[in-house]
Amino acid sequence: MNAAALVLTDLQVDFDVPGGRVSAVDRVTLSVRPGEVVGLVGESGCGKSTLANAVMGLLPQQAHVSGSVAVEGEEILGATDHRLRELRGNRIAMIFQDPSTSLDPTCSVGSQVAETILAHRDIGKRQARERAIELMSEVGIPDARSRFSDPPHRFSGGMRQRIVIAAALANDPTVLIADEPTTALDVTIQAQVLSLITRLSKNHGTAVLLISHDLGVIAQVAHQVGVMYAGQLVEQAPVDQLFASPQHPYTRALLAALPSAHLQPGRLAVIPGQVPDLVGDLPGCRFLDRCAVSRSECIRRPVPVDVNSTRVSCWDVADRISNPTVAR
Amino acid sequence: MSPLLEIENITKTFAVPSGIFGRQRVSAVDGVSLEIEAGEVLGLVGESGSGKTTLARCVLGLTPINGGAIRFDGVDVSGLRRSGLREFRRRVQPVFQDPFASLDPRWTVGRSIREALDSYRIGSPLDRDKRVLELLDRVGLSDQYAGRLPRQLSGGQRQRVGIAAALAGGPELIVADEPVSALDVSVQAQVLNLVADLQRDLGVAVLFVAHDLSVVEHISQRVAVMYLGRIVEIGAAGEVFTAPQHPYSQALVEAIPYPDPARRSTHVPLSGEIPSPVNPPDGCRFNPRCPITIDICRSLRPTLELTSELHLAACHVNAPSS
Repeated sequence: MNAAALVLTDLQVDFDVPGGRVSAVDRVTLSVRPGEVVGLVGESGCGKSTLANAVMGLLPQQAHVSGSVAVEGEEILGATDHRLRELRGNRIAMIFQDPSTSLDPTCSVGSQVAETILAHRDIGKRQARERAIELMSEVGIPDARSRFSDPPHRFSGGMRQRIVIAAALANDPTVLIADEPTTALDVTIQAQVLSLITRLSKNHGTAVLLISHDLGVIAQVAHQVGVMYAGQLVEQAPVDQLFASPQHPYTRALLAALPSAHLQPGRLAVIPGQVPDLVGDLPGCRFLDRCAVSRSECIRRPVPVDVNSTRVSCWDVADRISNPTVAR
Repeated sequence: MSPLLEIENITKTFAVPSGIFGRQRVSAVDGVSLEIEAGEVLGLVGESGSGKTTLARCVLGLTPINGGAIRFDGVDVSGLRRSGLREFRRRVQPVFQDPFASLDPRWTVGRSIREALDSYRIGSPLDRDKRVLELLDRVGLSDQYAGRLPRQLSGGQRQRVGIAAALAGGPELIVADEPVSALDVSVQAQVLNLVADLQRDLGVAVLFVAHDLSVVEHISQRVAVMYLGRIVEIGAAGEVFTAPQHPYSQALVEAIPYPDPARRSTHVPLSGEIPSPVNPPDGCRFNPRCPITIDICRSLRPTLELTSELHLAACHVNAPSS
C-alpha cells in the first residue's frame, strides 16, 4: 500500500468571534493516498471549505490552526510563507468553485498557465509556453495553440474551469484540493470536468481531496468519503459502503433527504432543527439535538469506532457493536 | 375544458450590443408551446442559456413576448389592463431562487406577507393579520416568525416566507424559478415536501423551473426539456427520465450524478457545449453536438411528434413525423 500523500491529524481551526470562540473544524483526521479521490461532503457551514483553506495555508491570520497537515511526510502547518509559496502550485494545488475568480481577466489564459510553470521551474519562456499548450490540450481545450492568447472571458465556464485545472496540474502536484469544482457548471459539463479530474488523478497519481455538497458527485468519483457535520468528521468509509450502509444518524438522514423518483409522490425525510451555534464549549456530539437515537452518553464526545471499513463517531453505533445481542 | 395555462408558439428575442454601434438579435425562446393543467406540477429543465428562466418570466408577464400567445384560464394575457392584470397577478405568483432578493430587508416577515394581502385586498383589514399567521402556519413557521426580519432567518425559512407571500392571494399557478437551488439537501427536502403539500391540499399548479434533474424528477408529474430556446421533449416525468427519446434528453439523463456508486456512468455522455443563441445552428439546434445527426437535421427544424401516448419529442431520427 502506498504511503499517504496528504495526512491531516487532529486538524483544528478556531476563530475568535464576539462572545467566544467558534470551532469551525474540530479534530479532523484523514488521509489521501496517491491516485486516490477522497470526497468530503457536508452542508453549508460544516467546515469543509475551512478545512481546505487550512491545508493550503489560506486562512486569515486571526484563525487559530492546530494539529498537523503533512504533505509527503513534510509538516506544512506553521511553515514559513516562503516555504508555502514553494509548495503551493507545485506540490499542492487547489481549484475553486468559480474559475473566473482564479483567473486574471486581463491576462491571456495561456500565459497564466505558463506563469505557474515559470514560478516553480527553471525553464525558458518558450519551453513554458509549449508545456502550457500541452497542458491545455490535455485538459481538453480544443485548438489550444491558437487560443493560448485569448483572455478568460472568451471561454465558457466549463472551459475556464479546465484552464484552472491545467494551471493547477502544471507542476504535477502530489495533492490536488478541489473545492466544489463543478458546482457552478451545468450537468453535462459537470460530467466532463469530473471525468477529467478522475482521469488526471489516475494518470498522474495525484491525491485528490474533492469537497462537495453534492452526494451525487461524491458517489460518482470518490473512492473514500468523509462526512462532515458542524466542524467534525462524523463518518469515514469507502464509497460503496457509505452509500450502501451509512452508519451515523446524520449520514443516514442526509441520504434519506435526497430527492428520488422512487419516492414520488412520497415525502422526503427531513432533519428536524438546525445546525448548532458553534460558539463556545461543545463537549458532546454536535448532532445531539437533531438526532433520533440520542441517549445520555451523547453529552460526551463520541469515540470513533470501526464497523467493517467504516469509522464512525456515534455512541449509538458504539453501543450496538459492544452489545450485538441487543435487538434494536 | 381549456387548460389553466396555454402557451402557444411564443418567441422572445433580446437585442444585444455587437461591435461598437451594432446590435444583434438573440433568440432566447423560439416557438415554444406548452400547456399546464390545473393542479399539476410541470417541471422545466435545461442548462444555462436554454431559455427556461426567460420562459418563466414571459409566463409571469415580467418579460413581454415578441410573438405567439399566452392564455390563462382561456383569456389572452397580453390584452389585460388594470383590474384584469391585477387579477392575473393574484392568480399567477412567482417564487424565486433567492428569497432574500424578493423580501424587503427592513420589513418584518409579517409585514411583507401583509403587504401582499393588502395589495390584493383579501378580506377585511382586521382579518389580514390573522391571515398572515395562517399563511406562516401553512408553510410550517410558527407565529413568532411574523416579527422577524429576513436577515434573522435561515435560507430555508426565507424560502418558506417567499412561498407564504406567494400564497397570500390564493394563486392557481405558482411559477417557481430554481426555488431550491440555493438550499442544502436537508432544507431542500423540507421545501420540496411543502411544494408537494400545496399541490395536494390547495390544488395549486406549479411551473417548476430547475437545473437539478433529480429534484425535477421527484416533484413533477410532467417534464419539459429545453435546449437553446426550444422544447425538445415533453412527457410524463416517469417516461422522460426512464425512456428519454431526444438525444439531448438522453445525454442529460445520463449525466445525472446519481447518489449511488453502483450506478457510476463510465463515459461522458455529451461533448462540446451549448452554442451561443446569437447564431443558433439551422435546423435542429442540437445537431452540432448530436451523435445521431442526419442531413435533414441541419436544414429542417423538427416538430414535436408523439412517441407514445402523451410523450412528445422533436427529433428527425427518433421521432420522425409521419
